[in-house]
Amino acid sequence: MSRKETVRDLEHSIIMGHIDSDDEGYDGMMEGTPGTMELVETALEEGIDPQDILTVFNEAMDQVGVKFESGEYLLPDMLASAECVGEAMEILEPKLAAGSGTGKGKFLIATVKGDLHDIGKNIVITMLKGAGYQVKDLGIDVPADDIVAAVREYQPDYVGLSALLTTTMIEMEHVVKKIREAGFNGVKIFIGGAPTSEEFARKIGADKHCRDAMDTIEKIEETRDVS
Amino acid sequence: MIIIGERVNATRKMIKSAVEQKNRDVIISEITLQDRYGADFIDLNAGTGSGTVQQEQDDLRWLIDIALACTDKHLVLDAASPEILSSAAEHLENRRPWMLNSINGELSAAELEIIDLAASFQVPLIALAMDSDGIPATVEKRLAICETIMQECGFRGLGEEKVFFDPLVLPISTDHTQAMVTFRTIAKIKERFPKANTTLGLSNVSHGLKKRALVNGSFLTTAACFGLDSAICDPSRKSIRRAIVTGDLLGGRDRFCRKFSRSLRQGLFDEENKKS
Repeated sequence: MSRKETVRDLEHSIIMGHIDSDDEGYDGMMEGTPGTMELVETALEEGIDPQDILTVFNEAMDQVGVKFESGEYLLPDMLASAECVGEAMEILEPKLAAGSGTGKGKFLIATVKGDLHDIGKNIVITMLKGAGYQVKDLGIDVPADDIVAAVREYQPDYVGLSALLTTTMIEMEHVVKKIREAGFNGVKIFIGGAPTSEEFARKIGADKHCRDAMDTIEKIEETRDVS
Repeated sequence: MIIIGERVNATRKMIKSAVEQKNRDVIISEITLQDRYGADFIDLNAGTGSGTVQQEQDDLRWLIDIALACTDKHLVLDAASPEILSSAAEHLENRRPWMLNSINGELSAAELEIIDLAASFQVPLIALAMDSDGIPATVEKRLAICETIMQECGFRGLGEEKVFFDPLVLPISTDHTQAMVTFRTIAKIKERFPKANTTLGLSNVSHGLKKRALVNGSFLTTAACFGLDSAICDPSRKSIRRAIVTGDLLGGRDRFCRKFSRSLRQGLFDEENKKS
């Protein structure tokens, strides 16, 4: 296979959410053909620069995002593609030259204290991994002090807070305050969850409000462009 | 969900007359219709109820020849008599993957012969959860029959994975608890014999009711959620295909909801007043 073909197949496999040859893919016809995992290996064997492979990941996910926004893809279709990239990153990451700036940054995420919802948070995690971020998940019902301690330990670039209830979103304000009080002023704080809004984010001093998983990615990219 | 297409059954008037008059075209169109709509297996039953054993034997061979010529799908040889099934098996000569339909817990000499036939070819066998007293009304009794059947199959060299248990269903019009009895029997069979498969005919559940397509479809979807592996049904009916897709979706057998979204794109869930 020529390099060009490998790159084209790799991109296609991600768009089709075709993780490996056992998987049927978006159209149900791809079982038995190489998937993202096999094609990443092939690409590396053929000597394709890991940096270029990463670019393929990003371009593929951009196309998936467009398909989702247009309604062509459903949420699980997008998650299938994100899983391809997330898993393939495990292979690719060690191959990327250290300090080449490939990691887009570290993202710490948690559902705040008193709230047990994790579906939205987990979708965001999958998408973030798919977009090339390193994600540390603290889980659900996480007290503010634990979040602050984790910020100290992992030194993330971003913190994401999730809450699904009007009664628990109040806790976000508390968490933001504690993070800032502890002196972490550079870390960008993102909030999300059904009852939250731009206005609420502003009120509690969070940097960004995210409507959904796709919006989260866009909001981070915005912050990166600015800084 | 493994779909066993039920249309080529001589208990249906149309098939009976096609078999009697050797009308090949009718059989071909019945087979290809089910093939097109996603049947994995095509059931072949030549029991017109009026001929001799020899006649049914010849008729089933005739059906097999037609099926081999017009579809790639797997076949189900469906008859009550071991002579007929054994002659059909010889005729088929493993030219296509196949299975046998069926035995029940009565385990008469004829049924033991059918088990031996399945074991000698190592092909799957459908086993009904009933015995000489008919279909039991309770989960416990149906499971007990399955236990008896499994023991006999094991003894005769037919492994758990080769048995397709049909838990059966009684009409809910005469006992409103019976759909639940079937669901719970499916769950119990899967628990007791994790390697065995379950299959089910549907139409009995809605006997004596109206809106039968709706009732049968909901029944199938729910059965899938209780672990049903296969259905003996008519995939050319849209209500059945919808029930299978939603059953696999809700039953946790549709990774990334792909079968569902594909069916959506193909228009399976579009509103219209056509049958299929």
